[in-house]
Amino acid sequence: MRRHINTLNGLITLINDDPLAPSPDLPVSSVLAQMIETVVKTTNLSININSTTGGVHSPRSFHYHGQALDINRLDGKRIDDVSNGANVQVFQQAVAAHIDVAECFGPFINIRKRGAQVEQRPDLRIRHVNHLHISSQT
Amino acid sequence: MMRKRLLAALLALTVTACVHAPSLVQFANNAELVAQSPSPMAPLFVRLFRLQGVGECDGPRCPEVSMQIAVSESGEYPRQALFATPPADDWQFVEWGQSPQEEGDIGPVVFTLKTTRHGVSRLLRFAVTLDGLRPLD
Ligand SMILES: [Zn+2]
Repeated sequence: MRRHINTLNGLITLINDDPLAPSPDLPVSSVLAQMIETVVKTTNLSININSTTGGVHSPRSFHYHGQALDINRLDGKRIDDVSNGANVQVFQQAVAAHIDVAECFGPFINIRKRGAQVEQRPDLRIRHVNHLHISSQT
Repeated sequence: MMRKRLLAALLALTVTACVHAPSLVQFANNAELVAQSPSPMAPLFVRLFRLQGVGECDGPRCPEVSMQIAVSESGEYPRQALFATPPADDWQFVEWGQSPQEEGDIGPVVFTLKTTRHGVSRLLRFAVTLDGLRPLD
């Protein structure tokens, strides 16, 4: 089942970093929506989602199935802003601990999860310094 | 029975060895997508390509055919693999089979192919994972 992500009174925004590209405010997996809303509520950190089902991703990406999103701003600052490091780390920890997470890639944590199996992928850090990629298992 | 087991073992060795891997030029020009997993979000996504060698029949001798089997996980950085059947006079896709669910791991994708050699056709069932392709019968 798909639905739009609840913006939680402005804590979550959905603005494409390319102003000419379509809005990322599109229906996604309800599991993904629930997971991201829960993490935003528990950390109380605002986010901007700059990609859901659109954009360019791997051909077998979860994005195309509404199961992944990218975040380019957290607490009003860029992901690669050094003054934002602690927030980014807290946010990634909360995502990685969520039962439904499939992928959590960013500057601090890079894991893939299949069922209960967790695979560490530190090699992917270099490709996620400017954004967080988060996907859900269903 | 013994002969059947020996044949299955030999076939298993041949199919997993990937000795007939085509060049990208051959693949891009000649491979024909004949089937792909019905569910795009299954843990393993499989595409089957029928690859016929170049050339034409010379009397009873015709270009050989192999089935190229591409396997991928889902996700942004999926593990992927390519396997091939041994060449034969023909390979055709028949149907997808029921995958046994293996606890804590990704189960194999099962499918049936029809192979023809010297005018004789038979059905072969295969199981494929990222680690290899094996005949089931
Ligand atoms: Zn992404």
